[in-house]
Amino acid sequence: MDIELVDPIMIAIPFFVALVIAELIYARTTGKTTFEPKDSAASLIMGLGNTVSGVILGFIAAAWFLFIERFGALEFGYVWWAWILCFVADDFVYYWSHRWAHTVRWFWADHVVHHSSQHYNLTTALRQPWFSVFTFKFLWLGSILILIGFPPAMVAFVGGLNLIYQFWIHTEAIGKMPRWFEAVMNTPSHHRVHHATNPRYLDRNYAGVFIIWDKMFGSFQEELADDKCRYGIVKNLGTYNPLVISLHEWWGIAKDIAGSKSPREAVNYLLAPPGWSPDGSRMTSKQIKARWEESLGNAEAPVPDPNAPETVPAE
Amino acid sequence: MMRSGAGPRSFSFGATPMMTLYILIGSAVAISTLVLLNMWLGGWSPATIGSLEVAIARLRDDHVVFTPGDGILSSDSLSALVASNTGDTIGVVVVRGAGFVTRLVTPGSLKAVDARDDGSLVLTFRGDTIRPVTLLLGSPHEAYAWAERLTGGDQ
Repeated sequence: MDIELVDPIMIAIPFFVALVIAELIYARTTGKTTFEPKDSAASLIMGLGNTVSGVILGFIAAAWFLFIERFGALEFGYVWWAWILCFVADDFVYYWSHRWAHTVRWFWADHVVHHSSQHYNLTTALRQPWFSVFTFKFLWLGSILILIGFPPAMVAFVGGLNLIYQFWIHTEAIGKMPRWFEAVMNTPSHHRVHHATNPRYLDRNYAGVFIIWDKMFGSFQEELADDKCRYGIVKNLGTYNPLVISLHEWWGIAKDIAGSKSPREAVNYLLAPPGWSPDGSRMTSKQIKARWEESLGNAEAPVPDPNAPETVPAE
Repeated sequence: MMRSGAGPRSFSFGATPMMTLYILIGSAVAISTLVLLNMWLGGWSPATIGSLEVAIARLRDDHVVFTPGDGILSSDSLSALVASNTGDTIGVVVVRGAGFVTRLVTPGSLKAVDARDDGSLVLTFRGDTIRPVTLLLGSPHEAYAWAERLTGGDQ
């Protein structure tokens, strides 16, 4: 069966542009959110570069998906319910892929791009990495649904819908949605938490479309009125240079591995959570949270190393 | 396990090369338009560090391990230095656009520290994620004193 599908993201681009213009005007008239030209330019250029890299490098993943399709355990075809099942399953896989993008430094090197703006507006949604293919996640996480038996075109299509859904939640213009919606779906409020660097909010709300995954797997955090989100990364970038935004964490990994004293150290620099260091001179999100809880006087989690010297937080 | 009787389906996903080219050109035009609109509309203002307390608050927000000691604010209100109470680390706060970038540095960890007779102090960081920072400290004495603290006396 031959099937031709359009890329939903390509169709969505004009709507993305229109919504950014609307949010720009909203920001100017209400002051409730901010845009900064250099930051917006950096985000939009990262988005364009992501599209270009998808054209140039996307064939690697596409060829892989076509190759493994023959090994699918089942054959769903294109029946209507398979689309729904595929969409939900894709969102489940997205949750774990996204969670590991924050907890494995190799994957974080790619995903940090999306978090590198200190602003939170619709252009931030488009701030996407250029070299995702080099995480090689498509070889396993990206292959799961195809190996189960969903057609690659369907998987790619629902993946595009997932990303389109995530566009509108990158805004401060919307407070909270109705309670039933906040309970089930990912929303601007939930995703603001995800982009925040406040210790309480670090490594929370990984959901793509359905927030239920975070509630099921213990990573959900409500946005609190008395803890206003501060956006960006733990070690914010002092540059708008797209190449530095793209490559800085990859470069950091390479330097750390080059200076590592053992193979074990090198592997940890690559695969341990961002901020890991053999001497404890940097801090992971878990360690930052533990120190923060300690500073509040209600440390529930143990402090990682009480005898460590004063440490310098890393990403 | 191989799916029985099913070879790879042919499918087309995405645009033709010419259509992709048009989309990329259109995207470049849209980006330029959006950034120009952003500049024209305004609605944001460059940040300044109004006082040392502002710098300290930002450092405490960004670094849960930081307990501030003494500090100094650049006379252009665009950067500040705050030593930790133990003197082990020094917090650097720099304005970047409408926001701030902070770093905790340990003595000797900067790539270069250049104190000048006009009272300015230029800090160059290792790595490319933050540009060199020039602090206007008012007097050569302050500039050299902070340079010594930042270098651990190795300058």
